[in-house]
Amino acid sequence: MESSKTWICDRCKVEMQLMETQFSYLKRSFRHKALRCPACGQVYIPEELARGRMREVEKTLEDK
Amino acid sequence: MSEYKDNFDACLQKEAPFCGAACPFHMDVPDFVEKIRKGMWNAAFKVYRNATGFPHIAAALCHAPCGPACPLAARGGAIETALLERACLDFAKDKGATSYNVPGKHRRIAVVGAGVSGLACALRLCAKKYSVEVFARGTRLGGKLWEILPPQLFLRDIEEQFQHETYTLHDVVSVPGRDFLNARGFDAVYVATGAGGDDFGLLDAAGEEAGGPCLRDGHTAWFAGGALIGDAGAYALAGGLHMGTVIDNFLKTDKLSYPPNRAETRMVLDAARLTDAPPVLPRGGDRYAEEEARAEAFRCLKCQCDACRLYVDLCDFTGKWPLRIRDEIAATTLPGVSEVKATPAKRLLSASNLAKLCREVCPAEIDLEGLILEGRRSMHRQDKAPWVFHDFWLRDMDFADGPAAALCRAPAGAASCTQAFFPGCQLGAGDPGLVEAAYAALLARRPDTALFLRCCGAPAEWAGDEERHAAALAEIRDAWRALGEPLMLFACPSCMEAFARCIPEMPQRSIYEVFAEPEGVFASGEAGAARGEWAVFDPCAARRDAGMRAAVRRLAVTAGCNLGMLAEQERVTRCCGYGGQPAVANPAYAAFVAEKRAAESELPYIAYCSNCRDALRKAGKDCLHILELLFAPPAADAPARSAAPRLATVTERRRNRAGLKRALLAKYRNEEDPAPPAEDASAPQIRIGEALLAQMDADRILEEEARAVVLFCERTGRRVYNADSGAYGGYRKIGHMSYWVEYRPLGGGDGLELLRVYAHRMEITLETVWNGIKQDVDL
Ligand code: SF4
Ligand code: SF4
Ligand SMILES: [Zn+2]
Repeated sequence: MESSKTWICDRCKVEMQLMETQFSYLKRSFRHKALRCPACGQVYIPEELARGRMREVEKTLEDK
Repeated sequence: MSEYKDNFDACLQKEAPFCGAACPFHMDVPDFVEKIRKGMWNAAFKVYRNATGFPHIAAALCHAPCGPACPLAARGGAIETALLERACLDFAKDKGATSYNVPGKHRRIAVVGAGVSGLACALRLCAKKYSVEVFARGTRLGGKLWEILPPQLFLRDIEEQFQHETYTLHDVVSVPGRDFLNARGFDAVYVATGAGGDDFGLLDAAGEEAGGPCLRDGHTAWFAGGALIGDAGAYALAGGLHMGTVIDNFLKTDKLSYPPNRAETRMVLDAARLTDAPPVLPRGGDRYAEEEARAEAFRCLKCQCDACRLYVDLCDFTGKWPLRIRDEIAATTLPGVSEVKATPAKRLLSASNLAKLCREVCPAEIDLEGLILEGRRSMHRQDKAPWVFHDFWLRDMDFADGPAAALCRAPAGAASCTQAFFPGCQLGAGDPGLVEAAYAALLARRPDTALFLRCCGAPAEWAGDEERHAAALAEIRDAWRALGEPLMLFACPSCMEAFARCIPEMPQRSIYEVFAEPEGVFASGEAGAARGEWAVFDPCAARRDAGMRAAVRRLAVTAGCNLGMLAEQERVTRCCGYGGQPAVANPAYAAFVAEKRAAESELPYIAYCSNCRDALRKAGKDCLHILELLFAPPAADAPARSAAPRLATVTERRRNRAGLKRALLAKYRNEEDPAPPAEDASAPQIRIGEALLAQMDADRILEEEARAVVLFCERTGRRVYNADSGAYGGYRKIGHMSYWVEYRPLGGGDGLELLRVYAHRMEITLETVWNGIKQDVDL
């Protein structure tokens, strides 16, 4: 099962799309593209992203 | 931070090695030796030449006063520095003098006397590009050297070293007096007229504030040195070089000062570094072959105070000295925004075990761990510490101190009590059965033994949260008073050490001493079944507790173990890697430490701190808690690892604590279990496979947390759906952390199956405001 397969928002029944999303960590805010429901804005973060790129950014911010 | 200033100023890291302090030239022998080890003869020669000015003359004059100072002198024999120096002269190919590209200076210096001391001073000052004039009878260079060395040796050396320098040589019968040179406008004069030579009144002026034979006469400063002041041989040469530096300093600062050419060292060498290997002797008589010289160079200890580097895991792991760590911490904890300043120690601060080891092994008692704890406190006060570094354990502490797990009661019928058992929250989490058994054994001896289940507050202390730590201690103190101030009995050496420090009025003892008493639970009876050889692993918190250490050993023998030694651990008693809780901030460090401890011996270990037991077991070590051997002994012939049950997961550890409280209440208070939180009957069953459970444990994610997210997704419908896999995904923020699940309904209304669980530290913000409309979901 791969998370690259199509995810839909279970409420709005529309396909998730890469869209600007706001994150914050340790008093810093930043924007990045993530899968979102174009109708209601719900965000989906796949495991690979959480364990990969996001963890790297977290580590960098922890060292700052 | 400032209270550590004096302490760190006493650090011996930069002290000279013994040989360098004894050497008239203060040569950097470790550097010299390092170059020989590498066969870099030209570089080694340079070190020697820079130190001695005239290397061939120095080699002929020096009688190696460094030898007796070398700590190896009392063992196999001092390093043969003189032979190494000669080898350098033999094997260096490029011995040409260095030409220094320094801008010329206008200040003028006169040197009276062209013996070895005067020439050495002239050489140093020429290299700094002062204008130097030498006054000597005839143009004869070398003075006394003519009487003791072959002329071609020293004349050649003098010529070579002055190769790139220019100075004026004045042929004078004698310099008539100070006025003669004063009138010529010299800024400084060095008088090195030899033993019994003209001193121009300097010897009478000796001492005073400047510290040696020197004076100011109008514009001109006068200094005396060499054989005139009693220096002979290598000391005359070295003294001349030294005076070159002294005069240079005078010209730069205009302060008349005559520091002696002496060096002292406060160096302390760790005894573990000494060896008994004898010196390498040259087979060819009095000169080394290349390989012989290199072998001797390898024998040198390169003396350096480094107990910290040898024993303190943080120094070992980072390759940093305490002084450097201090500077990094100072920069990191400086108030201000980190955008504009460096924070090099942020992660390092959280990667220490705080086991007070540096202070213990360091000859200057540098309290590195004290400084690190202070650094954590400073970061906490400034709200600059990443919350995630300690979040897991602080939440764990909340649970251990909360209604589900905490308990503080005298046993049924006893209004107050003479002693109380404080097992520590980690033992009850990992091995609730051992807590029950130990309590039963204590009660059998003394029915008025109270039970005190909670956390000792260490996570708050280690997180640098002083307020919270103080609050935890205050609660503990109050509860202890309410019990009638009983003797506190500890299973965990860390709790015990912390209370001894923070609640000194609380009398304390370890249960191991109680159990090992002559009339104690395990003292009588014949020795248990033979279990082969083990080693007791002392936790850092028991470093100073000889009574506890001995008692555990007696108990281990009673349990049938033969005890081998863990020599280094018994001597310096280092942390298992758990202390200070570095595992989230720096998991590589925590693993590094545990693996080092595990590797000290092939023997299986007996621990008496449950954190040590867990850390060592996770590092692949065979290790049992002493209480396991006493109360739940594996079959005698079973190998330790297979005998030990699997370590509890983070989820089980919480359930165990709650279960322990229920069981003990039921057993000793005849109270019914406090009704378990009512399970929502409509809540779906959630299945989690073995592999996922193990991963959640490694990620420190509780099953309850994953369950809460699934229920949230189910309840709110806020989730995503994948038609191909039939899986749902969604998340919820719990505390600071955002937890994600992916799950799938099982066929036939059989509940749900959890497929993935993961978490991230950063927060998704402004998600619920979309196109200006607030979505009705409470994340
Ligand atoms: S052991 Fe380390 S910290 Fe202590 S004085 Fe020596 S160099 Fe300094
Ligand atoms: S062992 Fe080496 S560094 Fe130490 S005193 Fe001897 S020569 Fe010097
Ligand atoms: Zn939607």
